[in-house]
Amino acid sequence: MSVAVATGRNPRGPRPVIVTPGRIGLYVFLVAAAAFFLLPAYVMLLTSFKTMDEIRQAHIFGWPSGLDFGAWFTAWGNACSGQDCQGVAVGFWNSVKITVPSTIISVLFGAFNGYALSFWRAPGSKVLFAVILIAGFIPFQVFMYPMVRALSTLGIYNSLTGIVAIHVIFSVPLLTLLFRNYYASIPLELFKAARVDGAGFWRIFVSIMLPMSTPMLVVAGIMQLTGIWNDFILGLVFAGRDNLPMTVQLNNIVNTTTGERLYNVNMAATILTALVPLIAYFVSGRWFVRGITAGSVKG
Amino acid sequence: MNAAVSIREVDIAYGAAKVVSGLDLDIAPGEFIVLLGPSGCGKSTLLNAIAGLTEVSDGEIWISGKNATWAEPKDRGIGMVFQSYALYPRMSVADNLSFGLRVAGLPKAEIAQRVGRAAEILHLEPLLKRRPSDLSGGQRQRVAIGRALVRDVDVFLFDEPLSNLDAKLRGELRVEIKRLHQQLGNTMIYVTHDQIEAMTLADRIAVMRDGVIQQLGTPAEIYHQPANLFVAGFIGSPQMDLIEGVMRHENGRAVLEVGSEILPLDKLASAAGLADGRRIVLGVRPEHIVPRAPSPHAVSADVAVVEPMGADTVIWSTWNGRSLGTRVAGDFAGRAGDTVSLDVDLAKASLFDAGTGLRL
Repeated sequence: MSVAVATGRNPRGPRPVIVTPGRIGLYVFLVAAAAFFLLPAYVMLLTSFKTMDEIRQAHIFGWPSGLDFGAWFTAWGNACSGQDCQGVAVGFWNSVKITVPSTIISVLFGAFNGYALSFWRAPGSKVLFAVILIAGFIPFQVFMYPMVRALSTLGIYNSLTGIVAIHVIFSVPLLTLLFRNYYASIPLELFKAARVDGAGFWRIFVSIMLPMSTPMLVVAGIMQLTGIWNDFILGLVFAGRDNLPMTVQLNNIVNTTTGERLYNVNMAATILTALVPLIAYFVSGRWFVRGITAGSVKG
Repeated sequence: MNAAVSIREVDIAYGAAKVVSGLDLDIAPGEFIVLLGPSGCGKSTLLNAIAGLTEVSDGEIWISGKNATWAEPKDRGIGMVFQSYALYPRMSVADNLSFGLRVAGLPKAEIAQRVGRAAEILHLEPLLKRRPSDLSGGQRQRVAIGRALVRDVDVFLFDEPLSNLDAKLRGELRVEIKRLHQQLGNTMIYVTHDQIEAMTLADRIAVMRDGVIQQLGTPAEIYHQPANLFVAGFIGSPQMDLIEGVMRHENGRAVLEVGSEILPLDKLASAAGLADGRRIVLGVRPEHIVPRAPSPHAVSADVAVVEPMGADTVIWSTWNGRSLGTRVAGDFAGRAGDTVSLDVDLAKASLFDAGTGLRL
């Protein structure tokens, strides 16, 4: 690429017009689309800082008179759902206890499946992959009741182990597909070289393939983290009363029918619940894009 | 039998498709053998079978006196160098070299000593701490060779190791591989589709087509006495001139009748005793056709294209309705459109049966 040097030797000739009606239209659309999604978030944030008196004045876009963090503390520690006034804090820690092991185990399991299916062409592996894929297209609600029966037979229904197992099982098809396709872009010769070097099934996976999978591990990790954190129905059905995730507790607080509706507390609780996936995206955006395009260009 | 590698009646099949069938090949200890052929001829498949990366469907493979047909790649006493280098991208050069030794659980001191020796032989010492992505193509391939070297094996397998490199680097590494072979004295099996690599490196070349060895011989044998028309046409650039005609005898002298022209064959020993009327193909290397002063024995041809290559020049001329390639000295002054007088050195020519394609 040639770089114009600031000595007067610049590219000559008429510049192409950059601002065209099409461009303007495009930007108008993009700004409108961004506003469409940002406006509710903006209202939520404003409302969470207002007092109930201000909210009753119904100036929904109006600024709060002062920064009042009261609603936030209430949402975290004292908000009530029915008789229970412990806020979303308990739910937060439950969600952490569910999400962390589920994400780690499911991602490693998906990587392992993808590795085994791409490099070790065992008899029947193609059929197995097809079955896994088809299973991925069936809505998981179909499996729900059978899974309840199965887990209670195993004695892990309504437990942390049970909900983690459910998250891992339901993410197998998608993660297997992701990792299988990622590994399909790795030259087979690398695998052959490792075999000549004497590495076996596990050694090749741990020493060669996993270190090469960083972008995919990050992408799959974020997908799982947000997916499992945002999950509602599986947590409600399988986790049991003591392990209800944050989303379920949020719902219980927001939908409490007794007493006054504390909109500021509800908004704060909702933002708190959405915070973890939001931070995950902000921190790892760079990796996310890299993982999606990984394999398109050989590095 | 003291062959380093012995391949006996080997069949290799992918499903119903047979890639290699009934192949026999004995390779002597310390020999540099090249498997040469067009793509899809089964040469890489055969090499993978020797390495144990592809299963054979029939036959035996013996390596260093042991039947290795069912052995794992690591137990065969082989090291392999791949076309794409296949270096482990997340490991440093030193870790790439030592990976196999670490897997085998060798003591640290011995690993360090072996890596040091390989790095010294291949001039990799300054690169040991780097990642493969920080290396040039030539350096990567040297690391790949080093990975085979540290394993202290009897047999080296090369799968088109130079075809990803540019022409200049390919030439340099070719010399380096040859020097390495002279220095180490290991048995080396080298797969390529590049005939220059085959000619320059090999003690013996096995020319393959469709999973069958067409000819096994020294580079000189392959070049000067090709066993059939395929080998004659595949080896040599520009290609050997192949002139088809009918065998005749005139006044007791053997001649080849090509259309309206006659070429005398009496200097060609293999022409003696061939029956009149037999259809044969005369094969002449382009360097064995030389321009000379016009004479009754010379062939008169029209120059169509002149390709100066520096050291020599290739002339494509038209004779008797067919194209003839001729390699002449670089100072050849003729141009397209000229008429040249060509003398065919029949003593160095080959004869093939037109039907079977086999050498006579």
